[in-house]
Amino acid sequence: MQEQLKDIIRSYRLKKGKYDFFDINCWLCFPAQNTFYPPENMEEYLSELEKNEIKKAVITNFECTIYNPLSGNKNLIRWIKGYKNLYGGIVWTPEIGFPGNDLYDYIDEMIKNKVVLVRMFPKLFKHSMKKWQIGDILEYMEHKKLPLLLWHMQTDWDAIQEICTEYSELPIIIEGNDQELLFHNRSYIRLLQKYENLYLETHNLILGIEYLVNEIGIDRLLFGTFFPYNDPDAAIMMITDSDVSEDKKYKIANENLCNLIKNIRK
Amino acid sequence: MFIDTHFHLGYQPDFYYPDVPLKNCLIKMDKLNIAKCINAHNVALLMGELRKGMEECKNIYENSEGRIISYLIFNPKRGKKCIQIMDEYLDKKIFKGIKIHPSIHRVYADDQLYDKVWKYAADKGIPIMSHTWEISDYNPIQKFSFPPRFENYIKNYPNVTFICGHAGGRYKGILECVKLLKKYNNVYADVAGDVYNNNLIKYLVENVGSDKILFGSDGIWVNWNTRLGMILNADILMEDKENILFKNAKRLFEI
Repeated sequence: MQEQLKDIIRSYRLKKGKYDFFDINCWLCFPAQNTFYPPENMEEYLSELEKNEIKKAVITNFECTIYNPLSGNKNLIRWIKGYKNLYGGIVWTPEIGFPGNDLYDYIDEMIKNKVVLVRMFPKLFKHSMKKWQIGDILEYMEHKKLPLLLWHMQTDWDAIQEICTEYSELPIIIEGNDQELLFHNRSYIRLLQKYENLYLETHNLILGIEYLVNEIGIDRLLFGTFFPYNDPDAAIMMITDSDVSEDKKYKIANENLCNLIKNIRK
Repeated sequence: MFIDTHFHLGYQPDFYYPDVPLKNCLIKMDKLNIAKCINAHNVALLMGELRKGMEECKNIYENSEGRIISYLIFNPKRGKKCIQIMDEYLDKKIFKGIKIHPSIHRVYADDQLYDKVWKYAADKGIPIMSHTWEISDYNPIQKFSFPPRFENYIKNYPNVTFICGHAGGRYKGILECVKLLKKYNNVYADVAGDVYNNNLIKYLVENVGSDKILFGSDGIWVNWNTRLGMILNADILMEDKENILFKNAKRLFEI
C-alpha cells in the first residue's frame, strides 16, 4: 500500500512540473495573518512558489486592502522590480483620479512597472461600480486592454454584467475568494456564455473545471491559488488531474494569462 | 485505497449541479484511487425525507457494490422520529455513523435536543460526524456549528467518537477545533470542503497527530482533487498520509 501511495505522490509531483503554472492570485504580506507557517520574507515566498512549480505569479500587495492602496501599490512596484517572474496587480480606488492626480499617467506608469491587472474592492472601499464613479478608469483600461479583477463577494452579478456589456473589449476576471464561487454558478455560467470578455479564476471553483470546459465549452479560466493564504496544491491538482484535454490544461495553467498580458498596450 | 469520510449525494438548491450518474462517480473514484465514500444523502439532510434518504442510501450501497456507504441523519427538530427511523435502518454494513448539521437544522450544537442522538450513538457504538465552522459575518447560520459548542456533549459522552467535519472551516474555527482535538481522546477532524489554508495538513499533524485526521471531500460537488492534492503533497511523513487517507477511517468506521 505504501509503495502504491508513493507512486501516486510521485506521479502527481511529476505532473505539477508539466504545466508552467502562472498564478494570477498571489498576495504579498510579511507575515500573512490567519494562516499557518506563512513565508517570512521574499526569499521564503519565492522558494515556496518554486517548490510548488509556480513559474510566474501576479502579486498584489495586501497593504492595499488593510492600510492604504496608494502606498500599497507603490511598495508593490518596489517589491517586484528585480524579479523577472513576478508581475503586479494594483488596487484601484477613486482617489487615484481625484484632482491633483493624473489617472492616465498613473496607469501608464504602472504598466511600465510590470503591472498587468487592476483590482477593485467596491464594498471594502465603499465606492460605486456605476459609470459615474468608474467610467474614466474602465474606459482607459479598456483602451489599454488592462484586465479588471473583482472578487465576487465584493460586488454583484448585475454590476458585473453591466461592465461586461459597457466595456466589451475589457477583460474582466472574477475571483471567488472566501465563499465558494459555486454558489453563484447560475449567474456566472450564463454570463460566461454571453460575454467573451469574462474570465474566471480557478482556485475556488470547487466543482472543478470539467463541467465548464467539457459541457459548456468555456475555457476562459485562469489558474490562481490565493497564495500564501491557501495551499497551492488545492488549486494545482484541480488542473493537473482534471478530465479535460492536455491543451486545455495548458491554456488554463498558463497560456490564457500570458495572452491577456501580451495584449496590454504599453 | 483512499476512504472519503465526508461525501454527499443528491442535490442542494444553493447552486446548479449537473446530474452525475452513479456509474460516472465510481469511474472517477477509480481514477483517483478512492475505494469508498461515506455519504450523507441530501434528501434526508436537506429535505428531511428521512426514510426516503435511507432507502436511497441502501440502493446506492447495492448499486455501488458496497463502495458507497452512508451516515444516518439526525434532525434534532424531529428527534424522536429520527431515532425510530435510525433504529429501523441501522445496519452497520451500510450505515457507519450519524451525521448532524446544526447549521442546516438551525439548532445550536449544544442544544439539549441533541442529547437523544449522543445517547443513541453511545448505546450503539457508532460515531457522530458534524458540520463544524467558524462564525461567519456573511453566512450567519454557521454560528450554530461553532466548534466550542460541541464541548459539553463531547465531555459527557467520552465513549462516542466525534468527528469535526471541515475541521472548523476557517482559521479561527480550525484553532477552536484543534483545542478540542488536543483535549479529548474521542475527537477527530476531517478536512472536507473549501478549507484550503496553506500548510493546514502539516499544522494539524504537528498539533494533534495524524491519527486524528481524516480525508473527506464534501463531494460530490467539491472536487476530490482539491483535497487530495493538499494531503498527497503535504510536508508530513508517508505514515501520516496513510493514516489520513485511509487507515484512520478503516479503524473508526470498522471498514
